[in-house]
Parts: sequence; structure tokens; C-alpha cells
Amino acid sequence: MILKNLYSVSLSLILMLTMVFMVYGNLGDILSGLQELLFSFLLSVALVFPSVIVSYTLAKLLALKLNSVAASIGVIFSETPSFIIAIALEIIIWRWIFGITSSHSTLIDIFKLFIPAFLTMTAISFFQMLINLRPVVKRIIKSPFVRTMRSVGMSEKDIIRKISKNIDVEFFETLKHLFPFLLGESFVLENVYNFRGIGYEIVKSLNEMDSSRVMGVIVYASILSFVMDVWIEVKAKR
Amino acid sequence: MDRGEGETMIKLLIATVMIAIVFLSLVISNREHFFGYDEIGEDLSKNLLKGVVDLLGISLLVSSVSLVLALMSSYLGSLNSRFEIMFSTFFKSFYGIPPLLMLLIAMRLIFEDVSVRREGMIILSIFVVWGGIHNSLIGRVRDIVNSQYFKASISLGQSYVKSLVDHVIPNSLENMILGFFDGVRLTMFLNLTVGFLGFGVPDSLGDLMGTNFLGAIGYLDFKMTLISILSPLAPFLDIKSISPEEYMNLWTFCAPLGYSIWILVTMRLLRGFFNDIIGRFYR
Repeated sequence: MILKNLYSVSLSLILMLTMVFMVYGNLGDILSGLQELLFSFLLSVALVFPSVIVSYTLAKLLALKLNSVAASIGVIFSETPSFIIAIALEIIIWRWIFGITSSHSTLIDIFKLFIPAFLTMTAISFFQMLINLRPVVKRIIKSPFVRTMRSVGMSEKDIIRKISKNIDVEFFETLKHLFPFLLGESFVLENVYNFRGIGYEIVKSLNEMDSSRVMGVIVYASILSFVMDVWIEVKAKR
Repeated sequence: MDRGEGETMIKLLIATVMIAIVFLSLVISNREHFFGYDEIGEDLSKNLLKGVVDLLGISLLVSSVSLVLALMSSYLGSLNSRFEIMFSTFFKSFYGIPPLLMLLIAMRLIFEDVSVRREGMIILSIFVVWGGIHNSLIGRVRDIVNSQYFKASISLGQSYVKSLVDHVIPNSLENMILGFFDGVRLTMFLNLTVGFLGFGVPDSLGDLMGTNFLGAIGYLDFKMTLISILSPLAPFLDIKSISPEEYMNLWTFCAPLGYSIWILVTMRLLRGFFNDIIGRFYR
């Protein structure tokens, strides 16, 4: 399992390395890039992983209730690019609650930037997962073993507990395909909120043509993708 | 007409009206210089029309080409497992890390020259979208290739190409149409996002938003956000320019935002319309 995930991430890494090498003629000082970006990497991890976990838990709960209002809002969120959602949320909600704007964020506290970025990331992930989870949940709820459980008088709470594992197993394959896009969304959010994760750093490094930092971002993004893939597989197998 | 048919027709009607409003509003606003001028003195409506046509054109082209490639690759992959391994390895290299990251790096490093950015965006988007449509088609195409009627047609001497046209395409039309619209949506997302971050096609809608974002964000509030979402209706309803006291014309950020949202919603409605139509005929 680990080798399989390492294989697919390695392919992307090799493609990226080849691209950078073709343009720059060398791979830069990868180690110095990794060292400089370690803090940014940790900020991105702090942004992405908790929001994915929280959003999946919430999406599963709401999908089990087959809430169609939330699903309709989810369609709007999933059809709109994340930077548009981030800008709209910032103007409508975050400024009012946190009193910040991205354009004046050069000296702003990381914590004050993290909360709106985290909440926006959670909202975007939540609605993406909800609209993907609903067909899975509908299918499982209509399956014969659930009808059997209902007919023998099992409570809804017990049924939900029993089918929760089935939902995890079926949905995690979808999550594996969804995660690269969610990670991409987090990079965009970091730029909108000036949150200095690796998404922010890649745009800055590409503008400054700093090959070491570009390489650093590529390696860290690969690590993030690999760790997430392995986590998903472990959760699904459990 | 039952309720389901009514809902389907409403989706088509709303999508048609929305796209008509988008183009008509740009014609009207161009005549009256309704949205004003950008910082280099060009009529904003001309830039918007160019951006809208670019966004739709690139998305439709990328999705069409990707669909044809995906059909070929899924057919070949179904016929021979070696091809499937080859294609699956090829696509894994594009999806192992975020496609957006790969697009940003490729656009900046390979297509640095702005004159080739459009071609670069098209080529790179094709690679990303091709993989997505391939994954959605391969299951269905494999089922068709493994079916009795397909095997019978091959054993009776029909060529693989004729079998593709006679059996594979008609029976996988549902997946192809939905894959096409998903491809259009994905290309629009990538185009707008990469443009917003400054590495996309020059003067695209994303590029217009990204260039003016920092200048606009300090002046935007809830009312202006709402007006920007309704910007295609602004010329019809005569909602005047939302310039603040300084020289900055906020339409340079808000109008691309509004038009992008309208186009995305239209594509979503069209996808829903075709999904319903296919549901009636095929399921």
C-alpha cells in the first residue's frame, strides 16, 4: 500500500523535477529550499489536515440526514472557484468578525489569518465532500442489509453507527481523487488571505524565479499528498 | 409535461437566458462605455467580452479534445491491459500532486512568454482534463468491450473502429456527455484560478480579477459584492459605476467576478439539463 502510493507520488515528483531541470539547467539547492520552507510547510499542514478531517466528519453527519438544503448550498460552493468564495466570505463575514483585510496583512498576527483561512478551507472541503457523499450514503441506505436492520427493529442511531464504516470504505476512494484538488484550493486560499503556507510561497518563488524554493514546494507538496494517501488507505482498511 | 420534465426545461431556459444576458449586456455596455475604462484607458467591456469568449472557447476546445482522447485511451485500455497500465501511469504523474501546482509551475517555467500562454493553457489543461474524463469512461467502456454483443460483432469480422462507432460510443454517451461538461467546468476553474494568481492567459477574466484584487479589496463591502455578482444585469438595470472617491473603477474587479460566476452557473445548469435528459432516455 505504501509502495503503491509512493509510486504514484514519485511519478509526479519526477515529472516536476524534469520540468524544473529543463528550464533552470539544475535542480537548485533543494536542501536549502526545504529548510527555508519548513515553517510554511507546517502552516499548510496545520491548515489542510484539520480542515479535511473536520469537514469529512461534518459532511458525513449531514449526508446521513440527507439534508437537501445543505446539498443545494454545496452545489453553489462546489461550482465556484475557491478564491471567489474566499473573497466573498472575507468581505461578508471575516472582516466583520475578525476585522482584518488581506490587503493590510503584512504585519498581521498568524493566528488572526489562520482562523478565517481554516474556516474557509473547512467550508469548501465540507461542501465538496457533502455533494460527493450523498450518492454514496443514499446507495448504502437503500441496500438490503440496512432494510434488514430496520425490519428487525434496530434504532436509527445503531444503524448509522453500523453503516458509518461502509461509508468510510466507499468514500475514501473518492477522497483520494478529491484530495489533490482540495490541496490546490488551499494554495489559492493562502494567496487570498496572505497566509504564508507553501501555496503562498510557490507563487512568490515562481515570480522571483527562485529554483531552490520552487523545488522545496514541489517536494513538500509531494510529501503532503503521499501522507494523505496513506492516511486515507489506513482509515479505509480499518 | 410532468414535474420532472418541467424542471428539466426550466434548467435549459434559465441557462439560455443567462448566457443571452451575458452577451447582450456586453454589447450594450460596450456601446455606452457603461463599465468605464481600466487603468490604461481601454474600454472595460471590450476586455470583458474578450475574457468571456476566451474562457468559453478554451474550455469547450479543451473538453472536446480531451473527450476524444479519453474515448481513444479508454477504448485502447479496455482492449489491451498493457495500454491501460501505460495510460494509468501517465495520468498518475499528473494527479500525484495537485494539478493546480503542476499547471502553475508549467505555465511559469515553460510558457513564460505571454504570447504563448493561451496555447500553453490549452495544452496543459488537456492533459489534466483527459485523465479525469478517462477515469470516468474506463469502467463503462470496459463493460461494453467485455459484453457479449461486442465480442460477437468482433468475431463476425467487424473492425474495431466500426465497433467503436456502433457499440461503444452510443452505449457510453451518458458518461461522455457528463464527462464533457465536467471537463468544461474543470478547465474554467483552472483557467480562472491560474489567471487570478497571475500565471494565466493575459487579459483573461481570472487575470483581470487578479490584477485588480489588491486595489479593490480595500473598497469592497457587502453591497458592492452583491452588485458585482449581478454585474451582467447592471447595464439593463442602469446600476451606475461603483467608483469610490478615488480614481479606481471598481468594475475592473467586480465585473469579471460577476461574469465568471454567471458562466459557471450556466454550465452547471446545462450539465443538469443533459443529466436529466440522459436519465430519461437511458436509465
